[in-house]
Amino acid sequence: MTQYRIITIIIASLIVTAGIGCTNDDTTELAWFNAAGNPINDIIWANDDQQWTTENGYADQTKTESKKVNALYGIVIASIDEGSGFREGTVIIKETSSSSLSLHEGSSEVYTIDSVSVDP
Amino acid sequence: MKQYQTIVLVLTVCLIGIGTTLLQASDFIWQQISGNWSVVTDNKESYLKENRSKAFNFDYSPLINCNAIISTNSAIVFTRLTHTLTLDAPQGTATYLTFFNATDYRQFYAVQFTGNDSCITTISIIQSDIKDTTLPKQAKGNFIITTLASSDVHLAYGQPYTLTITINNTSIAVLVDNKQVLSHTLNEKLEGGSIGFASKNCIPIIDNCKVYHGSTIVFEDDFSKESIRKIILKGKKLTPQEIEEQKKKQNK
Repeated sequence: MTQYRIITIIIASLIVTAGIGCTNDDTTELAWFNAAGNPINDIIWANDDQQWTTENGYADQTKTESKKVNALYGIVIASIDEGSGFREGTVIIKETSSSSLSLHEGSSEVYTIDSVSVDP
Repeated sequence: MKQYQTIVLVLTVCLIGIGTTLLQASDFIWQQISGNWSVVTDNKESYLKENRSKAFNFDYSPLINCNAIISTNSAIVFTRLTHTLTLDAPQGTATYLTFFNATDYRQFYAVQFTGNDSCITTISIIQSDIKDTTLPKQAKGNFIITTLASSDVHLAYGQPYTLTITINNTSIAVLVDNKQVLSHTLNEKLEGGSIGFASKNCIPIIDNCKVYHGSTIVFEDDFSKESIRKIILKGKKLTPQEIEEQKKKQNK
Protein backbone atom coordinates (compact mmCIF):
# COMPACT_ATOMS: atom_id res chain seq x y z
CA MET A 1 0.00 0.00 0.00
CA THR A 2 2.85 2.39 0.92
CA GLN A 3 4.59 1.48 -2.34
CA TYR A 4 1.48 2.50 -4.33
CA ARG A 5 1.34 5.80 -2.44
CA ILE A 6 5.00 6.52 -3.20
CA ILE A 7 4.56 5.63 -6.90
CA THR A 8 1.44 7.84 -7.08
CA ILE A 9 3.29 10.78 -5.46
CA ILE A 10 6.24 10.34 -7.84
CA ILE A 11 3.95 10.24 -10.90
CA ALA A 12 2.00 13.30 -9.68
CA SER A 13 5.25 15.17 -9.09
CA LEU A 14 6.48 14.30 -12.58
CA ILE A 15 3.21 15.52 -14.13
CA VAL A 16 3.37 18.81 -12.20
CA THR A 17 7.03 19.32 -13.10
CA ALA A 18 6.37 18.53 -16.77
CA GLY A 19 3.42 20.91 -16.73
CA ILE A 20 5.49 23.78 -15.32
CA GLY A 21 8.21 23.02 -17.84
CA CYS A 22 5.77 23.09 -20.75
CA THR A 23 4.27 26.41 -19.61
CA ASN A 24 7.68 28.02 -19.37
CA ASP A 25 8.71 26.75 -22.80
CA ASP A 26 5.55 28.07 -24.47
CA THR A 27 5.56 31.58 -23.05
CA THR A 28 7.10 34.13 -25.35
CA GLU A 29 7.57 37.59 -23.90
CA LEU A 30 8.37 40.90 -25.51
CA ALA A 31 9.29 44.30 -24.11
CA TRP A 32 10.47 47.59 -25.57
CA PHE A 33 13.07 50.10 -24.49
CA ASN A 34 12.50 53.67 -25.65
CA ALA A 35 15.74 55.35 -26.66
CA ALA A 36 14.16 57.48 -29.36
CA GLY A 37 14.45 60.79 -27.56
CA ASN A 38 10.67 61.36 -27.61
CA PRO A 39 7.89 59.73 -25.59
CA ILE A 40 6.23 56.79 -27.32
CA ASN A 41 2.58 56.46 -26.33
CA ASP A 42 1.46 53.14 -27.78
CA ILE A 43 3.19 50.15 -29.34
CA ILE A 44 1.16 47.53 -31.20
CA TRP A 45 2.60 44.13 -32.00
CA ALA A 46 1.41 41.87 -34.84
CA ASN A 47 -2.02 43.27 -35.73
CA ASP A 48 -3.14 43.82 -32.13
CA ASP A 49 -1.76 40.54 -30.77
CA GLN A 50 -0.36 42.67 -27.94
CA GLN A 51 -0.37 46.36 -27.08
CA TRP A 52 1.70 48.51 -24.75
CA THR A 53 0.09 51.78 -23.83
CA THR A 54 0.46 54.38 -21.11
CA GLU A 55 -1.33 57.67 -20.54
CA ASN A 56 1.62 60.04 -20.78
CA GLY A 57 3.74 57.85 -23.02
CA TYR A 58 6.83 55.79 -22.31
CA ALA A 59 9.43 58.47 -21.70
CA ASP A 60 12.85 58.40 -23.30
CA GLN A 61 15.18 55.89 -21.59
CA THR A 62 12.37 53.84 -20.06
CA LYS A 63 11.37 50.24 -20.64
CA THR A 64 7.86 48.96 -21.13
CA GLU A 65 6.52 46.07 -19.11
CA SER A 66 7.35 42.64 -20.52
CA LYS A 67 4.18 41.06 -21.94
CA LYS A 68 3.23 37.64 -23.19
CA VAL A 69 2.70 37.47 -26.95
CA ASN A 70 1.00 34.78 -28.98
CA ALA A 71 2.15 35.76 -32.46
CA LEU A 72 5.79 34.95 -33.18
CA TYR A 73 5.92 36.98 -36.38
CA GLY A 74 4.52 40.39 -37.16
CA ILE A 75 5.08 44.06 -37.72
CA VAL A 76 5.44 46.75 -35.07
CA ILE A 77 3.71 50.11 -35.14
CA ALA A 78 3.82 52.88 -32.57
CA SER A 79 2.10 56.19 -31.93
CA ILE A 80 3.91 59.39 -31.08
CA ASP A 81 2.90 63.02 -30.68
CA GLU A 82 4.51 65.03 -33.45
CA GLY A 83 3.26 68.37 -32.17
CA SER A 84 0.28 68.76 -34.46
CA GLY A 85 -1.24 65.52 -33.18
CA PHE A 86 -0.65 61.83 -32.65
CA ARG A 87 0.62 59.91 -35.64
CA GLU A 88 1.38 56.30 -36.24
CA GLY A 89 4.83 55.19 -37.31
CA THR A 90 6.20 51.88 -38.51
CA VAL A 91 9.16 50.47 -36.61
CA ILE A 92 11.94 49.32 -38.93
CA ILE A 93 13.98 46.58 -37.26
CA LYS A 94 17.72 46.73 -37.86
CA GLU A 95 18.22 42.94 -37.91
CA THR A 96 15.67 42.40 -40.69
CA SER A 97 15.89 45.83 -42.36
CA SER A 98 12.11 45.74 -42.50
CA SER A 99 9.09 46.28 -40.30
CA SER A 100 8.79 42.52 -39.81
CA LEU A 101 10.13 40.78 -36.76
CA SER A 102 10.40 37.09 -35.80
CA LEU A 103 10.53 35.97 -32.19
CA HIS A 104 11.87 32.68 -30.84
CA GLU A 105 9.16 30.64 -29.15
CA GLY A 106 9.63 30.58 -25.40
CA SER A 107 12.07 33.48 -25.40
CA SER A 108 11.88 36.75 -23.51
CA GLU A 109 13.16 39.47 -25.80
CA VAL A 110 13.70 43.20 -25.48
CA TYR A 111 13.88 45.48 -28.49
CA THR A 112 14.89 49.09 -28.42
CA ILE A 113 13.33 51.89 -30.43
CA ASP A 114 16.24 54.24 -30.92
CA SER A 115 15.18 56.85 -33.42
CA VAL A 116 12.18 58.67 -34.84
CA SER A 117 12.46 60.39 -38.18
CA VAL A 118 10.27 61.73 -40.94
CA ASP A 119 10.86 59.92 -44.21
CA PRO A 120 11.93 61.10 -46.70
CA MET B 1 40.97 87.77 -56.35
CA LYS B 2 41.07 83.99 -56.06
CA GLN B 3 39.70 84.26 -52.52
CA TYR B 4 36.66 86.17 -53.77
CA GLN B 5 36.12 83.61 -56.54
CA THR B 6 36.25 80.82 -53.97
CA ILE B 7 33.78 82.63 -51.67
CA VAL B 8 31.38 83.26 -54.58
CA LEU B 9 31.69 79.61 -55.62
CA VAL B 10 30.99 78.37 -52.09
CA LEU B 11 28.01 80.72 -51.73
CA THR B 12 26.61 79.61 -55.11
CA VAL B 13 26.91 75.93 -54.12
CA CYS B 14 25.21 76.67 -50.78
CA LEU B 15 22.35 78.55 -52.47
CA ILE B 16 21.86 75.72 -54.98
CA GLY B 17 21.83 73.25 -52.07
CA ILE B 18 19.28 75.26 -50.10
CA GLY B 19 17.16 75.75 -53.21
CA THR B 20 17.21 72.03 -54.01
CA THR B 21 16.29 71.17 -50.42
CA LEU B 22 13.36 73.60 -50.46
CA LEU B 23 12.24 72.28 -53.86
CA GLN B 24 12.39 68.70 -52.57
CA ALA B 25 10.54 69.69 -49.40
CA SER B 26 7.76 71.26 -51.43
CA ASP B 27 7.34 67.96 -53.33
CA PHE B 28 5.94 66.34 -50.20
CA ILE B 29 2.49 67.76 -49.92
CA TRP B 30 0.95 65.00 -47.79
CA GLN B 31 1.74 63.78 -44.27
CA GLN B 32 0.70 60.26 -43.36
CA ILE B 33 -1.11 60.12 -40.02
CA SER B 34 -1.71 56.38 -40.06
CA GLY B 35 -1.91 53.38 -42.36
CA ASN B 36 0.24 52.57 -45.35
CA TRP B 37 -0.39 55.08 -48.11
CA SER B 38 1.66 55.13 -51.28
CA VAL B 39 1.71 56.61 -54.74
CA VAL B 40 1.44 53.66 -57.09
CA THR B 41 2.67 53.87 -60.66
CA ASP B 42 1.95 51.11 -63.13
CA ASN B 43 2.39 51.02 -66.89
CA LYS B 44 -0.73 53.00 -67.64
CA GLU B 45 -1.31 55.41 -64.76
CA SER B 46 -0.43 56.50 -61.26
CA TYR B 47 -2.67 57.00 -58.27
CA LEU B 48 -2.82 57.20 -54.48
CA LYS B 49 -3.60 53.99 -52.61
CA GLU B 50 -3.93 52.87 -49.00
CA ASN B 51 -2.58 49.36 -48.79
CA ARG B 52 -3.32 48.10 -45.26
CA SER B 53 -7.10 48.37 -44.89
CA LYS B 54 -7.03 47.37 -41.22
CA ALA B 55 -6.83 50.36 -38.89
CA PHE B 56 -5.85 50.47 -35.22
CA ASN B 57 -7.85 52.16 -32.49
CA PHE B 58 -5.22 54.42 -30.92
CA ASP B 59 -8.18 56.70 -30.11
CA TYR B 60 -6.38 60.07 -30.00
CA SER B 61 -8.41 61.30 -32.97
CA PRO B 62 -10.88 59.98 -35.53
CA LEU B 63 -8.14 60.26 -38.14
CA ILE B 64 -5.55 58.07 -36.38
CA ASN B 65 -8.33 55.52 -35.82
CA CYS B 66 -8.59 55.26 -39.61
CA ASN B 67 -5.75 55.10 -42.11
CA ALA B 68 -5.31 58.79 -42.92
CA ILE B 69 -3.17 61.30 -44.80
CA ILE B 70 -3.44 65.06 -44.48
CA SER B 71 -2.19 67.91 -46.68
CA THR B 72 0.84 69.78 -45.38
CA ASN B 73 -0.89 72.96 -46.58
CA SER B 74 -3.01 73.89 -43.58
CA ALA B 75 -4.74 76.92 -45.05
CA ILE B 76 -6.78 75.60 -47.95
CA VAL B 77 -9.92 77.65 -48.53
CA PHE B 78 -11.99 76.30 -51.38
CA THR B 79 -15.27 76.47 -53.21
CA ARG B 80 -14.88 73.13 -55.04
CA LEU B 81 -12.87 70.02 -54.25
CA THR B 82 -12.90 67.10 -56.64
CA HIS B 83 -11.11 63.76 -57.05
CA THR B 84 -11.77 60.29 -58.38
CA LEU B 85 -12.37 57.53 -55.87
CA THR B 86 -12.52 53.76 -56.10
CA LEU B 87 -13.21 51.73 -52.98
CA ASP B 88 -12.26 48.07 -53.02
CA ALA B 89 -11.82 44.97 -50.87
CA PRO B 90 -14.37 45.74 -48.15
CA GLN B 91 -14.05 43.83 -44.89
CA GLY B 92 -17.06 44.21 -42.62
CA THR B 93 -18.11 47.85 -42.33
CA ALA B 94 -16.03 49.83 -44.80
CA THR B 95 -15.54 53.54 -44.08
CA TYR B 96 -13.99 56.24 -46.23
CA LEU B 97 -13.62 60.00 -45.58
CA THR B 98 -12.59 62.97 -47.67
CA PHE B 99 -12.03 65.53 -44.94
CA PHE B 100 -11.50 69.28 -45.19
CA ASN B 101 -11.22 72.43 -43.08
CA ALA B 102 -9.09 70.37 -40.67
CA THR B 103 -7.52 72.60 -38.03
CA ASP B 104 -6.63 69.63 -35.86
CA TYR B 105 -6.80 65.84 -36.23
CA ARG B 106 -9.98 66.06 -34.15
CA GLN B 107 -11.54 69.17 -35.73
CA PHE B 108 -12.68 68.87 -39.31
CA TYR B 109 -15.60 68.36 -41.65
CA ALA B 110 -15.83 65.34 -43.93
CA VAL B 111 -17.84 63.55 -46.54
CA GLN B 112 -18.11 59.97 -45.35
CA PHE B 113 -18.90 56.84 -47.34
CA THR B 114 -19.94 53.72 -45.45
CA GLY B 115 -20.68 50.32 -46.87
CA ASN B 116 -21.27 46.69 -46.10
CA ASP B 117 -19.69 43.65 -47.79
CA SER B 118 -21.64 44.11 -51.02
CA CYS B 119 -21.90 47.87 -51.73
CA ILE B 120 -21.51 51.44 -50.46
CA THR B 121 -24.80 52.20 -48.75
CA THR B 122 -24.53 55.69 -47.19
CA ILE B 123 -22.94 59.07 -47.87
CA SER B 124 -22.89 61.55 -45.00
CA ILE B 125 -21.56 64.98 -44.16
CA ILE B 126 -19.99 64.77 -40.71
CA GLN B 127 -18.28 67.11 -38.30
CA SER B 128 -15.63 66.09 -35.79
CA ASP B 129 -14.81 68.29 -32.82
CA ILE B 130 -12.99 68.13 -29.48
CA LYS B 131 -15.31 66.85 -26.76
CA ASP B 132 -13.64 68.43 -23.71
CA THR B 133 -11.14 71.20 -24.42
CA THR B 134 -9.84 71.13 -20.84
CA LEU B 135 -8.39 67.63 -21.27
CA PRO B 136 -4.80 67.17 -22.45
CA LYS B 137 -4.05 66.19 -26.04
CA GLN B 138 -3.18 62.62 -25.06
CA ALA B 139 -6.67 61.99 -23.63
CA LYS B 140 -8.16 59.10 -25.56
CA GLY B 141 -11.63 59.30 -27.08
CA ASN B 142 -11.80 63.06 -26.54
CA PHE B 143 -13.65 63.84 -29.75
CA ILE B 144 -17.25 63.85 -30.89
CA ILE B 145 -18.55 63.12 -34.37
CA THR B 146 -21.85 64.62 -35.49
CA THR B 147 -23.67 63.51 -38.62
CA LEU B 148 -24.97 66.71 -40.24
CA ALA B 149 -26.70 65.13 -43.23
CA SER B 150 -26.98 61.65 -44.66
CA SER B 151 -28.31 59.94 -47.77
CA ASP B 152 -28.77 56.30 -48.75
CA VAL B 153 -26.94 55.33 -51.93
CA HIS B 154 -26.11 52.18 -53.83
CA LEU B 155 -22.58 52.49 -55.19
CA ALA B 156 -20.43 49.59 -56.31
CA TYR B 157 -17.01 48.61 -55.01
CA GLY B 158 -14.25 48.49 -57.60
CA GLN B 159 -15.82 51.21 -59.72
CA PRO B 160 -14.32 54.69 -60.04
CA TYR B 161 -16.54 57.62 -59.10
CA THR B 162 -15.84 61.33 -59.19
CA LEU B 163 -16.51 62.91 -55.82
CA THR B 164 -17.09 66.67 -55.76
CA ILE B 165 -17.63 68.83 -52.70
CA THR B 166 -18.79 72.39 -53.25
CA ILE B 167 -18.96 75.15 -50.69
CA ASN B 168 -20.85 78.37 -51.24
CA ASN B 169 -20.74 80.54 -48.11
CA THR B 170 -22.26 78.15 -45.57
CA SER B 171 -23.89 75.79 -48.07
CA ILE B 172 -22.16 72.53 -48.74
CA ALA B 173 -23.13 70.08 -51.51
CA VAL B 174 -21.84 66.62 -52.34
CA LEU B 175 -21.90 65.33 -55.91
CA VAL B 176 -21.07 61.87 -57.21
CA ASP B 177 -20.34 61.77 -60.93
CA ASN B 178 -21.71 65.33 -61.15
CA LYS B 179 -25.07 64.36 -59.63
CA GLN B 180 -25.92 65.96 -56.29
CA VAL B 181 -26.56 63.39 -53.59
CA LEU B 182 -26.45 65.53 -50.47
CA SER B 183 -26.51 69.13 -49.27
CA HIS B 184 -26.42 70.91 -45.95
CA THR B 185 -26.20 74.42 -44.52
CA LEU B 186 -23.44 74.80 -41.94
CA ASN B 187 -23.69 76.96 -38.83
CA GLU B 188 -20.40 78.67 -39.61
CA LYS B 189 -18.49 79.99 -42.59
CA LEU B 190 -15.44 77.80 -43.17
CA GLU B 191 -12.15 79.58 -42.59
CA GLY B 192 -10.00 76.94 -44.27
CA GLY B 193 -7.65 74.23 -43.10
CA SER B 194 -6.02 71.04 -44.31
CA ILE B 195 -7.67 68.47 -46.53
CA GLY B 196 -7.09 64.73 -46.59
CA PHE B 197 -8.33 61.19 -46.95
CA ALA B 198 -9.04 58.48 -44.40
CA SER B 199 -10.31 54.92 -44.64
CA LYS B 200 -10.69 51.68 -42.77
CA ASN B 201 -11.73 48.17 -43.72
CA CYS B 202 -11.34 48.92 -47.41
CA ILE B 203 -8.70 49.87 -49.98
CA PRO B 204 -9.23 53.35 -51.47
CA ILE B 205 -7.70 54.43 -54.77
CA ILE B 206 -7.67 58.19 -55.31
CA ASP B 207 -6.59 60.24 -58.30
CA ASN B 208 -6.76 63.70 -59.88
CA CYS B 209 -7.32 65.71 -56.74
CA LYS B 210 -8.09 69.34 -57.65
CA VAL B 211 -9.17 72.06 -55.28
CA TYR B 212 -10.54 75.34 -56.59
CA HIS B 213 -11.28 78.70 -55.07
CA GLY B 214 -13.56 80.19 -57.72
CA SER B 215 -11.82 79.36 -60.97
CA THR B 216 -8.34 79.31 -59.43
CA ILE B 217 -6.72 75.98 -58.57
CA VAL B 218 -5.40 76.36 -55.02
CA PHE B 219 -4.22 72.76 -54.56
CA GLU B 220 -3.79 69.78 -56.85
CA ASP B 221 -2.10 66.42 -57.05
CA ASP B 222 -2.29 63.96 -59.92
CA PHE B 223 -0.22 61.51 -57.85
CA SER B 224 2.36 61.14 -60.61
CA LYS B 225 5.21 61.25 -58.08
CA GLU B 226 5.83 60.30 -54.46
CA SER B 227 4.42 63.06 -52.30
CA ILE B 228 3.87 61.54 -48.83
CA ARG B 229 5.96 62.05 -45.71
CA LYS B 230 5.87 59.23 -43.16
CA ILE B 231 7.13 58.72 -39.64
CA ILE B 232 9.72 55.98 -39.37
CA LEU B 233 10.97 54.56 -36.09
CA LYS B 234 14.09 52.43 -36.02
CA GLY B 235 14.61 49.59 -33.60
CA LYS B 236 16.96 46.73 -32.84
CA LYS B 237 17.19 43.73 -30.57
CA LEU B 238 18.99 44.29 -27.29
CA THR B 239 21.65 41.76 -26.26
CA PRO B 240 21.45 40.32 -22.71
CA GLN B 241 24.38 42.59 -21.73
CA GLU B 242 22.57 45.66 -23.08
CA ILE B 243 19.39 44.66 -21.20
CA GLU B 244 21.41 44.47 -17.94
CA GLU B 245 22.92 47.91 -18.67
CA GLN B 246 19.47 49.39 -19.28
CA LYS B 247 18.19 47.85 -16.02
CA LYS B 248 21.09 49.44 -14.13
CA LYS B 249 20.37 52.82 -15.75
CA GLN B 250 16.68 52.63 -14.81
CA ASN B 251 17.47 51.63 -11.21
CA LYS B 252 19.78 54.64 -10.74
